[in-house]
Amino acid sequence: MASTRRMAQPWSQARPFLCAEVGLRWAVLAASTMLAIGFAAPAAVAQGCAMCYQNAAASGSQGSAALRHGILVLLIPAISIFLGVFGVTYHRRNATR
Amino acid sequence: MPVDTVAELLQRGGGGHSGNGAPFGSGRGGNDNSGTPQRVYVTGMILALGGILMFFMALISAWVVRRGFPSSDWQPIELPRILWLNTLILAASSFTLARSRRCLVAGREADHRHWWGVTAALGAFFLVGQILAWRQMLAAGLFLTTNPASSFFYLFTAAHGLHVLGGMAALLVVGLRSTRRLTLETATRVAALYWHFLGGLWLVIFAILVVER
Repeated sequence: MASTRRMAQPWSQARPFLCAEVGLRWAVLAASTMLAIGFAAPAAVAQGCAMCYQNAAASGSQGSAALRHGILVLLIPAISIFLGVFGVTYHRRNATR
Repeated sequence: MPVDTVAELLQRGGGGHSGNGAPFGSGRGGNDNSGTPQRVYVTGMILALGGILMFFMALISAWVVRRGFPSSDWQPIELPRILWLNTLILAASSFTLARSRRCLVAGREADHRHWWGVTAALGAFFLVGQILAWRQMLAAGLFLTTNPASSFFYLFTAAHGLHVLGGMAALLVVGLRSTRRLTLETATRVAALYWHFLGGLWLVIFAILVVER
């Protein structure tokens, strides 16, 4: 019944409802993703690997600096790509085919 | 190096740009036979470049960590001088490719083909030069397992060389006009994007190898 009434509405009146529906869908998707990440976090046991920790700790200040630099080399392009994709997506959020 | 910016490429999208957009196998408009907009190919290439970039960044990160770790087995290597010439050749190929694209946009088909061929030839020279560099390394007694520095040298140059080989294939495919779905404009744009990226990537790798000494 509700769907029939919605279909009978002109597009200009139906649009706010559709926008809200899309927003709700995104909110549910974002919440689901956050939950999935949260539940997956305890499984990241590699960070607690005793051998890795001991190896890194035994490498001294020079080794620690090398590890930090290596992490930065990986982090900077990854974040740049993410920000680039996000920026382009946001910039073209209203674009049509 | 004349690299088209991502924003510019995305903004221009597919089919709406002025110039010679003669199609290979379909109309010049925004879509191919399957209804796929031409800009999809550019976006796909940009995403692929992101993956390739992260692959090389992983290698560079490993290089940074391995080189920084306190160990006695890391011995800097003497780079073959031909690498400087190879770098110049690859940089020149980027300029000739940009010139070829400009000729295409200006509607000068013969010049476009000429400079496209020059670019492919320079790419082949670069690969031959890399093989010569390897031979010089081997003649100097620096093998893959000699020390970590030589291992990374072979790893970097081999990985980059394989990608350049792929770029050569792309240049030949576009040069022979054997793509079916892309317009000429889109095909040259995608190939140029990849080629310029490889040029920039080599500059980074070469700088790392030079600094490492």
